[in-house]
Amino acid sequence: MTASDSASSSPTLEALYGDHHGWLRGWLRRKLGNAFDAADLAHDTYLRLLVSGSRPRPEQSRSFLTQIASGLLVDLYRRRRVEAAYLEALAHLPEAQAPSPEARALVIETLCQIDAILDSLPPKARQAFLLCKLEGLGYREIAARLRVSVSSVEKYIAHALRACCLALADPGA
Amino acid sequence: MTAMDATAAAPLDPAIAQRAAEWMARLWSGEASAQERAACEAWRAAHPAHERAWRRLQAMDDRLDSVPRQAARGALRVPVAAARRRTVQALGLAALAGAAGYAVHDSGAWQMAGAGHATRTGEVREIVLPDGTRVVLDTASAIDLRFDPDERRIVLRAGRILVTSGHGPLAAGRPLRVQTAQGTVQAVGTRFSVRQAEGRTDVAVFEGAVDIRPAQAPDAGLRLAPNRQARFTAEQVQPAAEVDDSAAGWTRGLLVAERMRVADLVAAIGRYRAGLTRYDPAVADLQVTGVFSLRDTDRALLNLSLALPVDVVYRTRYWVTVQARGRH
Repeated sequence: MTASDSASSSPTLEALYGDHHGWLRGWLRRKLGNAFDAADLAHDTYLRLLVSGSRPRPEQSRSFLTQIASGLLVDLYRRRRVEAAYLEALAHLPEAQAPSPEARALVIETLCQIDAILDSLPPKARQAFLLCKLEGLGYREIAARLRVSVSSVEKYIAHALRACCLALADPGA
Repeated sequence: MTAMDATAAAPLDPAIAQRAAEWMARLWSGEASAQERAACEAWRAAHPAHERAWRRLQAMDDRLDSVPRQAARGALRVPVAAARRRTVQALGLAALAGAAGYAVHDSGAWQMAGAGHATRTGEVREIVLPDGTRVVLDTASAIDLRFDPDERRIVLRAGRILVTSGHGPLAAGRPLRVQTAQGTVQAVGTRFSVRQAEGRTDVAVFEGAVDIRPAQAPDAGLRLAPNRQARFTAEQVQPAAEVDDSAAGWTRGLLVAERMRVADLVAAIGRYRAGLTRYDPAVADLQVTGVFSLRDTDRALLNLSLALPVDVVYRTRYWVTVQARGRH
């Protein structure tokens, strides 16, 4: 590859790392306030790049990196929020019923996945799904709450289930 | 090996996922006819990919059902985008959830999503803003920054901050304001703290002065002098009282208690712990004087039990109750 080639085409992963890793870590540290999480997320950002195989145009390198890193930040905040809610609920259980660390990890993983999927849906699909699954409401009650028809509720639920079906792994996989 | 295993690695056809979702939504309605149920069974049996899509949904349903309902509600109820706007109300709700006579503190890490800077429960951290202003975030606090040519605005979403205003080039001609749900606090060359409490804002000034402006009553504002503290709602400012430097002890990980009620002390310590920190109403009005660690809250609670006739009972790591000695 000639010098002019590399100037006009996408930068290599090595170049992206060498030129921007320090800057990205600084950006994340300002968002997160601690160097350890920032280093982890910067690492994960490059890992994401490596796995996806996509590369930005040279002048868009930093906005490309921050876009990936922002997604990871959202995931991190989501995990913290889910963990906090779960621990809060655990506090109400007698100690003998406290789940094992493995069981906890599985629950938190499940909730994070479903939360991420539901976040990608229109608000009414999300609400319909949660009212059905968590509040145990029938479609008629959900329809009344959301001010939509009963057949719309069924469509919203199907929409949410479709997203789950496509995003989740096969059981046992 | 079955045909299902052979297809397991392949991506699922979106059309099949759509059909499986429609069938399950139909069954969940509780109004599927016997014919429809049979048709669903037939569809599943018609192709391994159909059954595979169905099993994914069943597995998701089973896993969600196995999560304690309370945890799932807390984790999933509020969409992220809405959670940002509802921070203040949610903090209020956490207090309402308490049983009679008990103080309950939400460990709430979730309300931090989307804030410019945030701390976790138990974490205290200092940040330096572009203009040189120093902000110490107390436990479970979150701020957004809105700096523009006219002003430097810090939006306090939750918790408490200590602000030491900067005088860098970016500060010139741009007032520094802290905004809470109840109004704004404008710095006049100063060091001050602002706390977002339930339905009110607490302000303490250590150096310089601040101007308090309630959101609904800008004319009812007040200039707060050094070593004075005040609290305000959106409508009014309560008269100022004295404050000493120990009120900023939290920035050094310390809680300085001077004849402090157990109820207030436990509430203050609880803000630095994940889970619930409660007290028995019978000990609420006991008074204690001392310096307690906020970095090691287990030790702080132990020290409380050494200073007063109270026991600290751990139901779980995340549920602690301070009660009268020998009452359990």
